[in-house]
Amino acid sequence: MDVVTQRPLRLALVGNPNCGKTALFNALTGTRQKVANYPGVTVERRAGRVTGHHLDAEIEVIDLPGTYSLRAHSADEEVTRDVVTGRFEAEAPPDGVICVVDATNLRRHLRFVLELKGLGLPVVVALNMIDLAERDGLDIDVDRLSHLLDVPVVPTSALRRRGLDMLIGTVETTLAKPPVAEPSDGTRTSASASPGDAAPSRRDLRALQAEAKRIAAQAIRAEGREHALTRRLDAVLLHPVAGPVILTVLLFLVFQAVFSWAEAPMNWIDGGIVALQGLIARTLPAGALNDVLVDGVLAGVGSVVIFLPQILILFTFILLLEMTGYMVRAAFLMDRLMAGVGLNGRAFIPLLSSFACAIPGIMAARTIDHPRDRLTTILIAPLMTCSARLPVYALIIAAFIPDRQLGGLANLQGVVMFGLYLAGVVSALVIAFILKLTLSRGQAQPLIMELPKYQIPSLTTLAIGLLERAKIFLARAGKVILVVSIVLWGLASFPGPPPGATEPAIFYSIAGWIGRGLEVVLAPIGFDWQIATALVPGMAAREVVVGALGTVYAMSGEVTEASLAGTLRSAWSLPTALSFLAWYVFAPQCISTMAVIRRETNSARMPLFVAAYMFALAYLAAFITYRVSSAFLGA
Amino acid sequence: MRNGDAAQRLGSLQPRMCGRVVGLTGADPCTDGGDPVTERLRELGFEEGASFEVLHQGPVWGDPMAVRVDSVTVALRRREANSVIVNLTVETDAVQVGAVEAG
Repeated sequence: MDVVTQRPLRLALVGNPNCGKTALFNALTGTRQKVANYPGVTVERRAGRVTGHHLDAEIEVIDLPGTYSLRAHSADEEVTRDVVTGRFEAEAPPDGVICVVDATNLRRHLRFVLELKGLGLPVVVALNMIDLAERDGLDIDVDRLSHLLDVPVVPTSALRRRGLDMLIGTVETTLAKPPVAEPSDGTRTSASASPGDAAPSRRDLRALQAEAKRIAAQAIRAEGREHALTRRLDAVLLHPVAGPVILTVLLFLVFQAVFSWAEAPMNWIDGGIVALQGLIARTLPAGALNDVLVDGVLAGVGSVVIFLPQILILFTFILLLEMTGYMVRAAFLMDRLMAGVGLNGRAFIPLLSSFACAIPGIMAARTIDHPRDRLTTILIAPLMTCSARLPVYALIIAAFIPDRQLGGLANLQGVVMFGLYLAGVVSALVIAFILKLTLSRGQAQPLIMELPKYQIPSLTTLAIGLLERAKIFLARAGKVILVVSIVLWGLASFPGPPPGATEPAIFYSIAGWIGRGLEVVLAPIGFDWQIATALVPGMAAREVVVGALGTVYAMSGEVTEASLAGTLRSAWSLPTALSFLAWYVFAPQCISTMAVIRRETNSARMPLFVAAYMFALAYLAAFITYRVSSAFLGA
Repeated sequence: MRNGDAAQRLGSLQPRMCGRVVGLTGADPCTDGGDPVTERLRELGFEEGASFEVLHQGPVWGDPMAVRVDSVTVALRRREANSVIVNLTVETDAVQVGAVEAG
């Protein structure tokens, strides 16, 4: 390849699942990465840049989905296969491939190296997790391994940042050499092999497996001890009694932490926004601009940004559970229960991700091989309590549920929050069961998954994951919520009140009209026209309703307290608040989720179906909650 | 099947039992036993001669099970595990066997 052309070198990072590929990618590229979607398919394209070691040029690294073999079983495995074989239209074939191999699991991972070699692309092997291998007493003859494979091998450790420079340097040297004319098996001439030719046949696979075994046996000088810690941890964490208890306690602690740890930073943000509102109100001349900034923009955006600490805490836990390898154990523990409702344990991971956001959750369902299981998972994922519901729950709970200790162990607010999460989970399981009996009857699908060794989480990967989430959340607050807040302010301000009006101005505005129209339908569940008004922009995204309530009440002149929580406390009855919570457990108030369901299922009917069943559930739940609590509390 | 007498299905075993894989039964023997389940099992290391040990089982009805096969631990349901035909190592204390293999 001509170096003078200055097109950056493009490398694909591939490997088996659980080989530490993503950690290595993060260690190489740091924050210089871009996440997007491949057009047409819903597989994440993760690309980053790294500065060359010898040549002072940028190198683009693409992190491809992990796969056990080029014989793809699922949508993201197909992307990996198609990119490295040059059959993927949206991605030019890479100049070379870094195959990440788990040093502690050489036999199996080498088979994939051999498969890749057959493609004729330059391959460099990153012998990753070498630190763990050494600790376990495993001794690999790297030179011999490289010789036997006939490709360069570089020992690396993403966690300890070992071998990274050398890896890049080796890749550059390898690519600088003239390409090897013939691929190793001599049958394929280039990466543009005809479709069907790229993936090895089953017979090839067995031959490669035997060869991988032979190479591993020759390259390993001393077999390591078994990873004793993983075994000991699993004896407890997968114990038939202790395991489920620990899982429940762990999830419970996460939700307690989300509440208590976030309190201080949330107060700072709140204080900052109130101060800013005061400053603008004082310095700008009174008028429309002053109003739109204070009541529209700051009230709307501010009441959402405040939930950033809680979302980051929740994501910290989810990412940590994923990185340490516990998430797969949770799937193991949950599998039998999930099978009871026609799902498999693998669905636990998309569903747990949906606690953060249904969109990555629905996309993560791609890892489920079977179309029917995948569809069921997609249809119930929006019932998992996503982080966008968190601002809504947090606001209402803070306003209406007393901050009281229960038996010195738990906090009542935390218990209510946990209950709301539980309600989402239970209803999802019930819906899945109903789907199993009706829409998606059939045989149980297999569960086969690797239980990787427990690992110390990489702080770089955690930091990058959190940064990505914070960016997405703030971008949404910045764009969607900003626009919605301003539009809502406009709708709520015009037309102005008639002379001699007895109600607040918003009552006579367009927003008031819409709200009062909806009130007819929503009155039986305890919602007044102000709530109804806020629900409309709340269709864009769940957390928007918080900002919208902020705007609506600010403009109703019913702001009796400094905070929105205080305002709601004086405006709503307790049954209304509870009914509102019940509504938000189910209501499909998220356009993006509907869009992603449409894209993932490739059907316009599916999102409509989801919206219909969720609205029905929401109305029913809110109705029952409102009626029952009114009867008990005498509202 | 070779070792017909001692051969058992992996799905019928209990934790701490160990031995070697004898073969995989696929849906259709003519196509190299190649249904997706056996194919994936093979990819994960269940192949003739591999040593295994049943490590854990799920909390409800002992399903799924976690099986160490060579150096990898795989979780699978008993139903899928039944495609794996195994020979048990002569009944010994599992801890002792583990110690011998590690040494």
